[in-house]
Amino acid sequence: MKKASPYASEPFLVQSLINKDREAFSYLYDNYNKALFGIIHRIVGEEDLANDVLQEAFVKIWKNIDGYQVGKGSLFTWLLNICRNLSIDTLRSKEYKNQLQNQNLEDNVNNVDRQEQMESKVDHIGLKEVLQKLKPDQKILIDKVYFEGYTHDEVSKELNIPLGTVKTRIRAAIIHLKGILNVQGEQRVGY
Amino acid sequence: MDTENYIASGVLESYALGLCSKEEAVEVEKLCKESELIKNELENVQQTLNQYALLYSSAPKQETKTALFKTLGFSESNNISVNLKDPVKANFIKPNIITQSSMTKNIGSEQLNNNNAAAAQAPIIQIQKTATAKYYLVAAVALFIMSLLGNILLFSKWQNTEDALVAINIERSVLANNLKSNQVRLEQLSGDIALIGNQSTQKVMLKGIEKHPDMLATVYWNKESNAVYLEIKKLPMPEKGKQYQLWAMVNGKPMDAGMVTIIEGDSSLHKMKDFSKAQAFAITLEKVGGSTTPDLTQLFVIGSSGS
Repeated sequence: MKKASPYASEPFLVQSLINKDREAFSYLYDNYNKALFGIIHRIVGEEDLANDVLQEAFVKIWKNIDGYQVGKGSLFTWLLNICRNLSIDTLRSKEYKNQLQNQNLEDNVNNVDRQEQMESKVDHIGLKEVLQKLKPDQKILIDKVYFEGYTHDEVSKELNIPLGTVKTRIRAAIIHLKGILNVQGEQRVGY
Repeated sequence: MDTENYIASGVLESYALGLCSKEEAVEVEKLCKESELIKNELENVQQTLNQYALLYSSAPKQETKTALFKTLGFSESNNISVNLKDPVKANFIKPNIITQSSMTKNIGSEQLNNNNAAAAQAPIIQIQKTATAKYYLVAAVALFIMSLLGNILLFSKWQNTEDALVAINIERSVLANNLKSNQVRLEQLSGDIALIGNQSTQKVMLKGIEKHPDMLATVYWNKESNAVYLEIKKLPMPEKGKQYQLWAMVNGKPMDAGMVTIIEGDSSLHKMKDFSKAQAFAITLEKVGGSTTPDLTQLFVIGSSGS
């Protein structure tokens, strides 16, 4: 069997990207587009908008690859954070515009509908299992901070959690999530 | 600072989620360099969030990549020609220079021809011939190098394509395996549901005895097929070398009904031995592989079938 692409080595891929290697960029896109599009879509909701944000995110990645620091986490973590921040910014500026147009209420209803549509459309068995096993309040907590960029203050107000315990509540939720993901991983290996 | 308290405070989670203040973030980064424990914990958190994000994977539109590459001023299909052009250009320039210099030689020799007597003509022709030959030689070498470069380029492209194909094949077989395992699981679960819903299935609750009041298990006993299934609701993970054993009480005698291995998080039914009659079921903790008679000091749950 042939050796895998040299870009499969993350340090080499990053170095090639810093050297503005277009093929490396193409490889990066091919390998990460689904994962990154998934989270962007989850955050911004609309498919067309999500495609635009994905494109914008990759432009940012191409231009700012020098800003990636190996010590601060994996490449995927860095990519995810760029996409997450860009999506949350997009969502917030969109919501802001909507508020100006006084369509707040109507749009919120639409937002909720869209959210439900998305979650019922999800055909990934793994995701469904995880969402079912995660306690509803923990799921809401993780989604608010991870997908909607809520600050500690906002979480405290919106979810009625004392500000002092927000951090530990988030920690507990993530630990629970990790447990579920691990069990899932093992089950998959088991079959 | 107490590392454990620091981790328990949830500050690493907040850092991973981008919710920290600048001061906190600087501190987290500093502590990660100092403490392996904190660094590992942060990596764990990031890993968990990454895995969670991955669950949402879905494909963007195909045109998005094309549009992206256009925005950045390079397109995917252009890649080949861009790469090809440069070496070609480089090789065209060289022969051009040489051609020009040989042309100069020609002109010079023609002037020589006009000015001097016919005796000089033979060597001049010689010079012209050598110049032409040189030109052809250079052109041939250039063409050869060009084709060589082209071949190398095409070869590497071909190899990349083959690599991509191998990767896709691997991915495909992984996906096929996932599908298969999901199908197996689905069949199993459908079987479980059919069994529980069956009218001739009797449900026997096995409740914890005094020593283990919270423990719980359920036996589903089909009176038609005599099949016995066990669902563990709550039992502690057995220590190493121990395993749970189900017993059926038949006319006052405990009969081995099979061994159960608990997998954390797995709530599917375990197929046990068939029984046509049994007045009660019970679970004891025994050595791995089971015993011939139950160790009643290790009795955990018991329930009567009422028959």
